[in-house]
Amino acid sequence: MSRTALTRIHHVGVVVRDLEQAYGFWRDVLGLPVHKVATVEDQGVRAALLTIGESEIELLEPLSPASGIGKFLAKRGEGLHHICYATEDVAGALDEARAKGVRLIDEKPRPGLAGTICFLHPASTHGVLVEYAQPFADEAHA
Amino acid sequence: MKTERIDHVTVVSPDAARAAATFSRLFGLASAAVSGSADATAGAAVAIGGARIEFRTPTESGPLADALKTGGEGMAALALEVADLDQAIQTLQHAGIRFDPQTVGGRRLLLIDPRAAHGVRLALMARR
Repeated sequence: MSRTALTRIHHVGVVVRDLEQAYGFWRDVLGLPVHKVATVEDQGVRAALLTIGESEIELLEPLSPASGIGKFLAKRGEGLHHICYATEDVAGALDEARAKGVRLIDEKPRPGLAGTICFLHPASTHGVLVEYAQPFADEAHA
Repeated sequence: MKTERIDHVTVVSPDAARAAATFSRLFGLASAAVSGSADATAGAAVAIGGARIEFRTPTESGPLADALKTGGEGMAALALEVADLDQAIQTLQHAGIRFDPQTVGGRRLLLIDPRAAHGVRLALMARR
């Protein structure tokens, strides 16, 4: 299989008002273990990854109402936000998307919570915000 | 509760077949069978790893029709597979979470109150 192949759902992103409160359902009721928590200042978000099989659920809490996630929360409320595919070569996968005429949010990959990541524009993907992630080498999914 | 994997993500679209074809072409994903649906919907699906992305066009009123009307085309629901659906029912009841049990395409599932699931239209499905 090509290194740029999209092999699995890395995670599904869910916007929540408050991470601690969200754990009450996603961790405590559904039983999903919290794998990683981080604050990404430049994205204005505090995020947690909860493991589910070969994938994760990413809970996203805005750090401020002015952040992208804060605006999403104000406009649409809590709920599904994006889907992220795993790839072994995020730069190559992004080049392939560009070559197919997909409108991009990130012109080149950048570090994110899930690894080296990039976002595609939902205008090209039927309203679905799509992310690609190449997991960091020391965090490759089992 | 033991929640084991993502079964599928549902995308609501005015043209499910076209949306599925777009995802196949852009992301190199093979087409797959759609599960039965609690809503009467026309559908198509693609496979990715052990999960699927399902595309639905609502043909009558229901939660997915509401999602398309209020949120537009895009991600509308999430289905997770649990190890033991009866145990899931007990856990939900104990936590005071409302749910609607259904059998769709011969498979038991629970539609969770979206207010409990942080705005997500969430289904918990029994193993195949």
